[in-house]
Amino acid sequence: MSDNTKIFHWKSDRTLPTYLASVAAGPYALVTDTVNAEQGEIPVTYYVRPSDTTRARGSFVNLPAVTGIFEESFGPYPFQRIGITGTSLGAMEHAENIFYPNSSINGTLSDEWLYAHELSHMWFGNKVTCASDADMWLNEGWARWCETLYRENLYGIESARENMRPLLREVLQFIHTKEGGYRPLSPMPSEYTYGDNVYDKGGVTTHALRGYLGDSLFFGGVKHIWIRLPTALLLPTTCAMP
Amino acid sequence: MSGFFDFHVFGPGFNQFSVDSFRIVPIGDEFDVEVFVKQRLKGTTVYAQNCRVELTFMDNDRQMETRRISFPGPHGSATFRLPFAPAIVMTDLFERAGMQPPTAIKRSTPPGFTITLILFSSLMLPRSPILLL
Repeated sequence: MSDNTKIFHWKSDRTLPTYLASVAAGPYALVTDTVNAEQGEIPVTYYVRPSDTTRARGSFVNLPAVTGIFEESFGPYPFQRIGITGTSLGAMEHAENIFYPNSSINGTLSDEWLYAHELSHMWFGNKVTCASDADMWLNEGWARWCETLYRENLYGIESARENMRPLLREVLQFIHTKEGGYRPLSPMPSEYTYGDNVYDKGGVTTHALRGYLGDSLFFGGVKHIWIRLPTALLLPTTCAMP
Repeated sequence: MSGFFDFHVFGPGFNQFSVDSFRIVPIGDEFDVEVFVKQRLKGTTVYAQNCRVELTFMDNDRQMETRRISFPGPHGSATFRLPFAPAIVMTDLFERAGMQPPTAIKRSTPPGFTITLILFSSLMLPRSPILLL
C-alpha cells in the first residue's frame, strides 16, 4: 500500500481447530519445495532466517519421505500445504504452518524427530483433535509414537527400537515420581495436560496398541477411520478405539 | 479392546508378561508345547483383561518360531504345536507389547529346574531439551 503497509491474505478451504491458526511476522526468507503426495503435488514452504536458507535444505532433506511414511500409515496428508516457520523457541503443530525452533534448523538431521513429531500432528491433533484436554494423549501420545514409526520406515526396525527403549524405561522408572503417582492417561488433570504421561506414556501405549492389534488391524483400522472422519472432528478417547 | 483401554488408558500403572513355565510333549515328529504365562503389575492392583503377547520359541540350534498367546487376566496357558523342541521361551522378543521392561526368558533345564534370565536394555539416547507441543 502507499504507506508501505503490506497486507497478506491467507485462506484455507479446510476446517481448522481454532487453536491451530497462526501468524508469524519477521524478516523471513522463503525456501520452497514440493512433496508428491496422494492428493497430488503439495507446496512446501520454509520461512526461515535469511542465514538459515541453506541449513533448511539440509535439515529437512527427508521431509518428503517422512510425509510419505505418514500417508502410507494413516492416509492422505489432510491439508493443502506443508509449512515450516522458524521461531526463537519451541515447536508447535499449527495446521499447515509448523512453528519450529531456529536452533533445530542447523543443516543436520539431529532434530529430525522433532519435525516428524509436529508433522504427524496434521493427522493426530489437527485433522482430528481431542474433544477435551483430558484426552490430550490422543494428540501428543500418538505424535510421540510417530517419532518411532518414521525411524522404523526410514532407518529400519533397530533404529525404532533404540528410540523406544529409553522412552519405555523413562516411563516405567520415573514417570510416577514426576507427576504425583501412577496416572491413567484419560482423564488427565489439566495441570498435566502437557506432562510426561501424556507424551511418553501416551507414546508407549500407542506402540502397545499396535502390538496388541497387529499391524494389519492397527494400520488398517486407523487409516479406515481417519480417511472417513471429517477434518477438525473433536474426538473423545472412547471413540478412538479402533 | 475394552481390556486394553480399561487398563492402559483408563487405569493407572503398567503390566508385564512373563513365562512361568512350559512343558513339552513329543507328538510324532512334532512337539506340543504348553506354556504358562503370568501377568505382573506395577503401580496398580487391577489386572488387565483380554491380554495378548507374543511368545518366541527357540531351540538349541537357534530355530525360532513366534506365536501369540491370548489369556483373560493374571494367568494363562496355551498349547502350541511346533516342529522342534524349544530350549527357551521368550515373551515379546520383538518389543511389540510396549510395556515390557525386560525380555523375560524361561529356559528349559534338566527336569525339576527352570531358570529365568532377565535382560535389561541399557541403551539411553539423549533427547534435545526442546519444548514441543
